[in-house]
Amino acid sequence: MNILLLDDDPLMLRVLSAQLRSLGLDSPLLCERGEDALALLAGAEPIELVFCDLQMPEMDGVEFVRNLVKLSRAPALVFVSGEDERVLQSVQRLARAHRLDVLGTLHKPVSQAMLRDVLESHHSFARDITLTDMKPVYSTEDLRRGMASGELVNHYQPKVALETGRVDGVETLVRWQHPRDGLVYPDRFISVAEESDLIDRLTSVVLAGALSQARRWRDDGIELNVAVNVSMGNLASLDFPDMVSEAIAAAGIPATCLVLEVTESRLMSDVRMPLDILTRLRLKRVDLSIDDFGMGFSSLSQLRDLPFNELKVDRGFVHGSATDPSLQALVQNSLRLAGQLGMRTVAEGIEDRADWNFLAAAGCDLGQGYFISKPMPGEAMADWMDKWHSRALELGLESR
Amino acid sequence: MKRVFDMSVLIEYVGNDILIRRRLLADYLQATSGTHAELRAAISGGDYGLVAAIAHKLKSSSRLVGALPLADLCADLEAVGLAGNVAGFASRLEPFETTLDATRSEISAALQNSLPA
Repeated sequence: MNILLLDDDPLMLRVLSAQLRSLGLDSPLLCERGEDALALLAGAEPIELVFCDLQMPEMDGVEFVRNLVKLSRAPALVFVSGEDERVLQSVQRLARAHRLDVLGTLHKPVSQAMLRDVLESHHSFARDITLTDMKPVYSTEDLRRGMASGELVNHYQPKVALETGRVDGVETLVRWQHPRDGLVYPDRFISVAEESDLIDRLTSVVLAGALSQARRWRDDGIELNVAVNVSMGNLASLDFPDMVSEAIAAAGIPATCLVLEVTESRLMSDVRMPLDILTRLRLKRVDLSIDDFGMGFSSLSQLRDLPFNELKVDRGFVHGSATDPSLQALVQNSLRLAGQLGMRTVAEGIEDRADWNFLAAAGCDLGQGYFISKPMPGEAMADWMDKWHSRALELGLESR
Repeated sequence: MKRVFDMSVLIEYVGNDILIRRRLLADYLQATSGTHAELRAAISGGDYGLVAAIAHKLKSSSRLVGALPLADLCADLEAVGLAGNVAGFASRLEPFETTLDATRSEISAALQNSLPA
């Protein structure tokens, strides 16, 4: 990944450079002047991410962003700001109006923790960098306390029909509103739960939250399917199907509104295939989705024997598939395989219009990704759906 | 006497790597070696925008290395430069220069004593 750093202070450039290196992002391009940065951005080498100080005395930040949007390949931006919030706000408005992806705003100097959080918040970087060394290590007790204090919150990312733009459902993504570290993403605590006895309780909390949110949406006239991720630990528990049934009954919604997602690679790497548990869940009319498909090397014969009725193509194969023939072949093969098995298909990681167009033309049923929406709290969904309806019309989709 | 340099700030930003910290502090000393002359030339030449630019750049560097009293004086000087407040320079230049000298001395001492090459 190519990264450009723009700051009039060479020392700041050196520090940011060292911090990025410690996060596994090497050799950024360094610029002290806006015009040099623009020349590099307009060059042949694509640059994906720019950290820019937009309040340098000798550079007009608004003008810089205006020039950025004229480029054929606009990078994602992180604003490194000074004190003048008005300048920052006008630059952010301009960036939003031109659909520039603004990852966040940092105040100088930038701490490693802030930098890590901004990078982690952008999901396309999650697969490119290893942040293990930087992450705080949470103990089982931390997580137990957080769960007992109600610090786990659900966010929801919409899934949309690619042919019509209709909002079909959501994937539930758990976050930890940590009192010290702010919003913590699941990759930093799910493994703690999985390696302890907390995974059943965590899944139960997330499931109950998602189903009661689905109930509230229904009460407001919004019918959405909700997907919840489950771990292999859950599927090893004989009580799990009954726990799911009870949660559905408590929320008072049809079982057909629930989708349980299981990651393909974990499923395939576990010799104790929980076929009986999966079958019992399907008999209860809960949908089962095989997540991150393509990373676990399932064969047609393996998939045929499992009771899944949805296949989610891994994001790593989706973004960029419009222009990459090898990704196109992988996506088309996955969709063909799912079609042969009568499964519904979902493409994860739709990040731009080209991804959408390719997946829609390839016959994928549903799409999910930052081009459609980032995950959001449940109460924001109704407003988002109104806005999505207008945007889908603007994009030439028949949202209905 | 009030401390003008706090190493823990730089550790917070770049971690405990002594080589990186040495390099950054050496860069800071080099970057500030001509600041007195540059600033005085900009003031006497009436180039208040340049005064603001010098102060702006030094402000962020100073915050970064933990020279926080100097960073505050830079912020003040930057505001005066941006406002073109000629009278404001006279009262601010001496404390600025004194603090800059003290900061540079402490950083040099830290490089020699606590951050061996």
